[in-house]
Amino acid sequence: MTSTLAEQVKINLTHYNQWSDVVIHAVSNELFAISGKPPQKLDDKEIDVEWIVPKTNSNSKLSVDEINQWFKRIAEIHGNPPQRIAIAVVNDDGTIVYYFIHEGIVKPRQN
Amino acid sequence: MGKRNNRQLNKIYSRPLPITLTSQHYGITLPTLYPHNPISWIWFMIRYCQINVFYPVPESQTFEVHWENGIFKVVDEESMMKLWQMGFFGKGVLSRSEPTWKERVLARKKENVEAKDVAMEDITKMRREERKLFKSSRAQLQELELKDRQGIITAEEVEQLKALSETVQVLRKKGRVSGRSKSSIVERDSDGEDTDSEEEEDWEELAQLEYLQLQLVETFFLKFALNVINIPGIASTFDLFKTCCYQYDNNQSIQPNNKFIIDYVVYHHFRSLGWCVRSGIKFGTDFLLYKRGPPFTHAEYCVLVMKPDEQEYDWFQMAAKARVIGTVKKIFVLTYVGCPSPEEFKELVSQCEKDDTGLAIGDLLQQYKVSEILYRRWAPSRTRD
Repeated sequence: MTSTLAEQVKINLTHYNQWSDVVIHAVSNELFAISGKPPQKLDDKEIDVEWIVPKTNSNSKLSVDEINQWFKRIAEIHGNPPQRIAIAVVNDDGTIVYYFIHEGIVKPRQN
Repeated sequence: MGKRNNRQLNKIYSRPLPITLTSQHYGITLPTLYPHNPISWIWFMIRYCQINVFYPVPESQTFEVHWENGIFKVVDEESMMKLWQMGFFGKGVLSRSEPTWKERVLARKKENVEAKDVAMEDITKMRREERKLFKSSRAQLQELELKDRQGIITAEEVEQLKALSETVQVLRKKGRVSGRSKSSIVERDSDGEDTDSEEEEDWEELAQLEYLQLQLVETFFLKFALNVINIPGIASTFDLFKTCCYQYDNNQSIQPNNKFIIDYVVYHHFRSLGWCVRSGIKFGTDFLLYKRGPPFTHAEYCVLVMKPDEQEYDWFQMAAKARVIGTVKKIFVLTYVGCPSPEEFKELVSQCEKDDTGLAIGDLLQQYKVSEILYRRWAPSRTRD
């Protein structure tokens, strides 16, 4: 179930949002992370590779502990911890909404 | 919404559901009934009987739906289009809603698109680019203004500041206009050159990577309420019912407050009242209600399904949702669902097991009661005359 979820997000990033070098990493049995490059910088931050963790909204419980684990695990495969992780929430109609999760406080961007 | 005029839209979306009516199929209508004229009653009755006896009920087209890895998919291009146009079912996985991915890729390759073929996603993209330009100009302007205040500005930069301030003004106005009517953007695209016909053939061979994904509730509605889909591997309506329920709860014995049943009851309730119901995940709610459908107007209502005997949301979450929904100018509807008791439920489910027609599920669902409450933030000082 989870790997097809990652597959769905990968297709969405590649063909809908036109990202490049989208790769699925099987981090552990229950965690799949996706790395990729957006066509333009998403905001003024200097981030080359973005990291994404897919989730369904049918089991929407998520703990801070779990998010901490993501940062740790991705640091292990990536070398250093990512500045931020985008969570991809997949709905049962295929809608995917993305939200950034930062480790700690960041300066908000001007709207 | 700027893209096509209303007459065209009415033509494309003339059918609110994917079913064929006798009147449409044979091009016949019942005569007008005048309450004060008994002869018109008789004539009405004769025609009514005639139509019911001599014209067999037309068969509606059946669509093929595939069940793969927990997703209901429609892959046939014609079915995708029809399910979208007749009742707005499903979502193109590579599009915002209407499956326009192929069209968009072709447009991107073509570069110059005729105004009428601009997909809604492209309009959004253009608007975002304009917004980006506005933001970068504004950042420059603010930097210069800061220098001005600190008194370290050069004569050259003063000129620059004046020019920038004008650009930002213009962009700000434009943003406000194009936010409402998209006409300015569409016009800009219309001056295209003729395209190379040789290349055009190439584009037509582009593989369709997109499929239409149906929500569980949509799939069940198309099967149970309209009976217009066929799912290989899931023969009966009750099998589909069980499959959908297990997506939320693996427990073999289905509970009366299963999330699928509760969601479906609400979905069916609003569909049968004539609303076009779509997923509301973008606003953190369960459903959105459209008067006719997404191409005509924005959704008017955001529906949050409240599960029975369970406090799912606290007041912080409610306040957050209400604020989001308020700012997008929609009305927040809380929908409370009452379920049958576990004993009643068990009894009705066992009847469904025995029944092949799928009608017993109707009896089961009738035990659920739906009531709505509008939730609105009220600021006393703001609402005064």
